[in-house]
Amino acid sequence: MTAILRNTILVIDDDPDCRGMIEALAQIRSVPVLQAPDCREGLRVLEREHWRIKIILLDYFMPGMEPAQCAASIVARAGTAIPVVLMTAAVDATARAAELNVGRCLSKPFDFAALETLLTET
Amino acid sequence: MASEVQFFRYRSIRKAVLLEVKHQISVGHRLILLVAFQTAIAALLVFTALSAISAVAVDARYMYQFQFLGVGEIGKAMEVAAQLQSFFATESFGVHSRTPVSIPNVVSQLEAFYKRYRAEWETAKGNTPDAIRFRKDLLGAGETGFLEKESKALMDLEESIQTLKADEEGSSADKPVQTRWSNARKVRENLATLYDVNVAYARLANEHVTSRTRSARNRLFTIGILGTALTLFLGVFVHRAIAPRIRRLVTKVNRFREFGVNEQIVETGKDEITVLAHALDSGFAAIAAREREREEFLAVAAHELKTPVTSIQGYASLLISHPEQTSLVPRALEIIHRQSWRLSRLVEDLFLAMRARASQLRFQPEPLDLSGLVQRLLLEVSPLISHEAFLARVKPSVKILGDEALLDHALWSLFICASALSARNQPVRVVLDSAAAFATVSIDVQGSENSAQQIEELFTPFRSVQYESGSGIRAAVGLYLCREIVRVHNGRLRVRDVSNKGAEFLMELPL
Repeated sequence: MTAILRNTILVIDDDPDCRGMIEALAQIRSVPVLQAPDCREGLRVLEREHWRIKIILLDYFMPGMEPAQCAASIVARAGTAIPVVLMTAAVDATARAAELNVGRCLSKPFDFAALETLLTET
Repeated sequence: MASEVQFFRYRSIRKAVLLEVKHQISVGHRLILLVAFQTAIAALLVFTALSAISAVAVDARYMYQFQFLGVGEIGKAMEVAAQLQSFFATESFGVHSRTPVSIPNVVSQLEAFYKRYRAEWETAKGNTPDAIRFRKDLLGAGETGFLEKESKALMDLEESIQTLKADEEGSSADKPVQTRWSNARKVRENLATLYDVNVAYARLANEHVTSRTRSARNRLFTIGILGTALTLFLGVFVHRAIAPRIRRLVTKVNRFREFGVNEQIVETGKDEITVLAHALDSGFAAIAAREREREEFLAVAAHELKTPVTSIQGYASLLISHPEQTSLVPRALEIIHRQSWRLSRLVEDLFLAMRARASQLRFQPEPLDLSGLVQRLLLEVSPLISHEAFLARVKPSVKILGDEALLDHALWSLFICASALSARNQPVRVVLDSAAAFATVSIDVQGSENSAQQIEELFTPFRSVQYESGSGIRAAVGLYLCREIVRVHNGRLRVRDVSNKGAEFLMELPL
């Protein structure tokens, strides 16, 4: 029996530059990355690759779906196995995370050291 | 039990009426009522005072003419009678008086007095208004004895004067001097009786006049006191109906001013204070809403500014932390450059929006190739859009008189906005055309969930909520500015529904 290895980061953000930057950093750290430009695509990827995703980085504002609806869907699908981290450029990041019932948050612009730590967490 | 029910019903009706009066009568009417009441009280006081003064004047004339003058004339008649009596007394001793007395003249004076008294001062049977009034007073006071006394005294006086006259008209020698002295004495005694009656009359009249004066003074005093008390009561009523409500308004205004707390002011009436309260309510609500919009705008602006900064800082940190990753350098620099440019546009947009809000938008028109501007902007914006493409149909060489810098911002913001509002994977159609007097730029918003009316709200200053909740927030800043820019070009910028396709921005600029 083979143990499931959760080692992949799922980045859901409509800003391709932001996704690219996280991906570049993850590649340096040899962490596989999956990307989605919006919530619906993110849900599809999550459905498909659920078994290998270790953490989800979720942007707050994205086109196509309300932030609360998006976060609720992602958190519900991720379950307890995959932690969700909210990324937001909003002034009150912690309050927004609490509002969406997401445990952790990462303010934009990123604290680079914190981002690296997050990516290399097991 | 029934009486208790009636009492409570009365109280509830009274309370309802008072509340109705309290809240339905306007402040102006309350004040008019108060002033009218005060004026009525003042008028009543003046009228009563004038009546009292007039009554005192009438009494003074009455006391002089009817009472004191009568007594004085009786006194004079008594003197004449006393002289006659004294003359007869001297004659009776056989001594001739040094001062001869004309007896017919004396009798004539006494007769004249008698007739005048009957005409002017008689109370018992007199017909003058004073006599009638005084008789009434005496009857009212139960002092009818004096009237009988006066009648009898007058009757005796007339008889004694007639006797004196008969003595004088007959042969003087027939009557002894003693008898004539006695008759003269009777006249004087009758006059004395009449004098006493009139003195008593004067005393009683004085009492009546004093009483009337006192009564007028009391009436004035009572009206003054009652009027003052009622005016005070009405003033307090008006005060209680107005002042506490104004105090409540002031408290709410102060709370709003000091703490920014917008509490609804509950006023259920229809008077001016209620109107004022409602005006304040809607004013505060508008200020609070504007404040919320401003805060949201600032939050959105901060978010907008942070988005390019995130990429710039992220790639810069990446290069600094991992200098060995040389393959990343070209892409990182390209992104840093592009996002820096985007950031500068955002800052410029914010700056212009602030200037437009202050009506200080600087407009420097020059001949401008609008076709070239649209084509250049489409090339610049395309890399910023992740998924949609622009389908452009640009009529060449459309020239206008315009400010390139301002139109650059307006069109850039509209392209971004249209792209963000359009459904994913829907191309944004841009058409530049020109007619007789106008150049038109139409930008489709296809497959949007927002109607033209909803999109129109994005042109309100600081309005960006619907935009960020609908399809992202990236271009919310620019829309108010867009309309201002087109307005200073004497043009028009509209959003209109296009059947089956969604909406479109339509910019019209004079050629």
